[in-house]
Amino acid sequence: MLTVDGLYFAYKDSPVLRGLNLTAGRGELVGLVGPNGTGKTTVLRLISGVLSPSDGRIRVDGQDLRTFKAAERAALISVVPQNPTLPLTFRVVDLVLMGRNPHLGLMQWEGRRDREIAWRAMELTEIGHLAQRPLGSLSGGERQRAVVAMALAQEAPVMLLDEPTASLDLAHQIGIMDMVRDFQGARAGTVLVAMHDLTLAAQYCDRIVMIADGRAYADGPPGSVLTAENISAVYGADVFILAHPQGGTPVVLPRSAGRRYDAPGEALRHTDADGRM
Amino acid sequence: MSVRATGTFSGQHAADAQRVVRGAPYPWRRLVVGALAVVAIGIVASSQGAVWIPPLTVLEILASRLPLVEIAPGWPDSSETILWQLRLPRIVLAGIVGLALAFSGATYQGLFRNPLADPFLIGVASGAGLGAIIVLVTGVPLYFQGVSLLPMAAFVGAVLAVTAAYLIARQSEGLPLTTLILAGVAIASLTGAVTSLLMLRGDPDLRPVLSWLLGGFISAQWKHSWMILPYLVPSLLLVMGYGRILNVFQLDDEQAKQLGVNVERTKILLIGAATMSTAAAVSFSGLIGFVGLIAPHAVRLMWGADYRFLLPMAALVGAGFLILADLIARTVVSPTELPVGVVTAFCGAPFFLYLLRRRKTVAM
Repeated sequence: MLTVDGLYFAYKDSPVLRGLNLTAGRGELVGLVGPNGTGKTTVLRLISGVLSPSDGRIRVDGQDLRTFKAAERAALISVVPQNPTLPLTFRVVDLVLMGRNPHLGLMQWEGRRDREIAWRAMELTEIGHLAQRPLGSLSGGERQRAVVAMALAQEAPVMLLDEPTASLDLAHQIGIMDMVRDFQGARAGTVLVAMHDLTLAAQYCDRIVMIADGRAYADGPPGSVLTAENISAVYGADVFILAHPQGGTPVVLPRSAGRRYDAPGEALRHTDADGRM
Repeated sequence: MSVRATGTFSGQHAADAQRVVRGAPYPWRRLVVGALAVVAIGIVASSQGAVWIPPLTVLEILASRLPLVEIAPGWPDSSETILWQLRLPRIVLAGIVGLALAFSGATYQGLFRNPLADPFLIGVASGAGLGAIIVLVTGVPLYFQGVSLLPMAAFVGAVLAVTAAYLIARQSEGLPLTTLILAGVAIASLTGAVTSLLMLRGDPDLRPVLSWLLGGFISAQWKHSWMILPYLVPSLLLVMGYGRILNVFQLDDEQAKQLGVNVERTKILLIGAATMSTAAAVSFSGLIGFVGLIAPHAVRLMWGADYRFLLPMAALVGAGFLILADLIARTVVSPTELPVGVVTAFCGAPFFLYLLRRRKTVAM
């Protein structure tokens, strides 16, 4: 159970978060949405301890994260960063085994149990056959799965993902999100995922937190948060909301600002005019 | 965990699983072979010189020094004197300096995530040079109660230069490594300028400083090796203990932190360790380039970048390489000598290029 209470944070003089509250329960997949620059990544970096909040508290199962050492925190929270830096000559299995770091002492090396956990993570992410390959020889989707496998091998009850589908094609987007949901289902893990794609977020998340002005503007099931009114207010974009044929979650379609597509007849008239004038 | 093999695909799957779960054993044998090779190079090097001493005789003389070993001396006294007073102190010092430079280079490369980092990256060399020249031009006696002040001043200068770079680069959130490199470069140019100025205006007899700047082992003594070891051994043990963490460090600072690494403490400890052993080594040997760059890089290209193996193996390669380079330096234009730095560059650069051509993949 992850609880964020009244989180404040500013980069130099520009405030990013102004009293953000959010929770993510055990076995819950919570999506973090909001326009660019609203601080989705900042929230994740604060929770993972890379940044420290100027005010507010972050707790996991009631315990304040400030009381933890780096390794204790890493045993509780794993992170899949948006653009991970990968040592390209290391093999996939080397990377996944790095996820075991919080569970190992300074002079301690990975043992058989750690390698078993790493293998299971690679099986879940379907990269077992790539285990001995150098990271440099992998495609973007395979690399992303390797990073997710590393986070899984960390065996932390809370997992944070920063736009895990951002640079992936359609099939890999679905693949990653299915994997994340499997993790959350099988281990009753808590997942907080920052997402750009509102439709995909609606499809996979149990709950969505929409951030605006450094606070949670809306918080609830996808159907109640991803409304045309909220999206217009927060993103400043006009959208249509349809129902997904699979499960009925909201599908967000942008409405063009131009008049061209307002009605089929009008669009046709414009094309005609373009062609003849 | 159970992995059942059904059909060819799953057979492959099971093999993959087994390979991961079993893991690769640590390549101890390579390290043992490397260590034996260094000893063999040392023995061959001790037999060469103005007077030829057969390698077997070298072995006999060495063995006769061991406790509980009685060997009737079948060799002239002069051989023993040459070996014990002249050649061995020099060879051992070259080996220790090579080891220190190579392992410090490997540490810096790992820490800065840059294969072009060398032990002189953040100001050790120029700081040591300034320390040495100050002793010479200020008229401080070169020897104080029989101990040469030159290496001490070089050591202090090196440590101060890196400390200055560190203090400049340190910020409230930690130590940004690119800032540290830039600060090191700035300090290096500043101290280098002061060194040049002092050389122009100072004592006309600059030969001790010039020969120190070129680097070499011509005046090597046993006690030099003994004086390096107290810095080298603890540093080496500390950094090797951090081998696995250095692997995690190859991600970036943020990811390392998220994996539970105490990033700032690791940086300070490892920079301190590498700086101390480099400073101790160069204070006696002078500035010898290329060893700290090429030895770790060669190991990385041949056997991969796992720092648990790379650190000790690079140390051995550095030791063997510098003993060989010094052998060439003192024999090839005998009776005079080449500066050993010239030899390391001459042998090192082409070998480096060959390695780069052989493995075209970019190794980071």
